[in-house]
Amino acid sequence: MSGDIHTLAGAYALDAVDDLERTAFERHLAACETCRLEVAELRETAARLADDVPDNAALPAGLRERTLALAARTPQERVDSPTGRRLGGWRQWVAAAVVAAVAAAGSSAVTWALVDRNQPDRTVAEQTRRIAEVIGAPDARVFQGTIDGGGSATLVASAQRDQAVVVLRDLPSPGTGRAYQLWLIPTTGAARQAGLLPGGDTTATTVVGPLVDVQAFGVSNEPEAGSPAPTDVVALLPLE
Amino acid sequence: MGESGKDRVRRWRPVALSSPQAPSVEELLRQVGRGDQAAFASLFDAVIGKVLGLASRVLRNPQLAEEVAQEVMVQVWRTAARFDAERGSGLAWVLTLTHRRAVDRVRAEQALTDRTERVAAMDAQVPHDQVAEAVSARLDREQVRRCLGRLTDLQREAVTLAYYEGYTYRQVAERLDAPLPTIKSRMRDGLIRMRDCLGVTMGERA
Ligand SMILES: [Zn+2]
Repeated sequence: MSGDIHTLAGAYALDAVDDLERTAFERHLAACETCRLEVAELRETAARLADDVPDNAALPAGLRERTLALAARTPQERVDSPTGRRLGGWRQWVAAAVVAAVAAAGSSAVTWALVDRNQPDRTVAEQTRRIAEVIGAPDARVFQGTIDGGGSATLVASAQRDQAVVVLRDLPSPGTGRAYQLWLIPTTGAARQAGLLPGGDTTATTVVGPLVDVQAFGVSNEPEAGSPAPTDVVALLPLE
Repeated sequence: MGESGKDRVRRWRPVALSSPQAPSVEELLRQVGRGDQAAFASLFDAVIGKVLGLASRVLRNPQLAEEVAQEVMVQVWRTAARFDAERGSGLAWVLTLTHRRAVDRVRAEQALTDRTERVAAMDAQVPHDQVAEAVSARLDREQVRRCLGRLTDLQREAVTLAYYEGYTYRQVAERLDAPLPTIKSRMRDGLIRMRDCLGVTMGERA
């Protein structure tokens, strides 16, 4: 337990050391930059294990009031804190995209009402389940973009599921008597239509697919009834 | 709209998604660090479900879990100024404090022996109110399970016995009948593999 103290980083990050080892390792950390970075990352990793624990939805009676009152009379430590920077990473993007997508669904059922010949009306619960399946797929990848003139699009694609979740937010108005239409563009051959927003709609959440051979996702501005092929492409999102 | 489709094509540009909802845990922690009690109430609401969930998982006792949750939240209030976003996310910071305290309490109570049979009763899933929360929690959970699945059996057992049950690596070694150095390195290798699978990076390398 002497020469190889670096290897204690994992056990330390899991709180699997006793008090003596903890003290010894923290002394080592003060002097070892490599271990400090490793421990920071392994701590962050270990905390993710809590994601597989159900949240405690039922808050014990009085806990909130007691804790807030106790805090109010507890003095705080003062530290000169550096201004922090947010962590990036695709996982946070996905989570934010999902929240945005589902928040949109919750606020307006119209959001779900895509006119899609292949997908008859579905309930919100059914759509939510399908969305969760795509986004929860092990190989899910996120594509993200904005459009000139406003609006954003997020696409979470799973090759394994052969589907992608599309979230369009706040596009510019398509104009009177016009609508946005969604397309899957294959490596060769014609664009396949993947959904038509109700006329005038500028926000949508839906699932598109299949994705085999698809190299890009597109949005076009079309007459309200839709077009057999895109005529006025306003956005193109390469899926690679 | 008179121009041809190809001329009108606009390229998507990558952009960071800002949260459409409440302030982030990191932002709340910064405000709490400056003594903002309203921000502390918001932070409490944002994290208490996970804090209680993790404490319950490790302690297997609702009463103890509640005590630990209260201690942790007051500790968060007291030491929020120490939180450094460069070194990790806000939620991870809170959960690290939670885990440490829960494990300390487990060992103090020396309750390791009689906790096992209570697993079933405590593990029942609780339905979420919010669809959004349910979906993103599910995303997180599935990713963790998938990454755990990529560990070797020994790595996975070592990591999960330590994290979920609060065992020291010595206790894990005894339980798995494996040499101490082996368990120590399996915990580290396992976490490193989890880190890479989950894509965890610190700020400057993100
Ligand atoms: Zn070191």
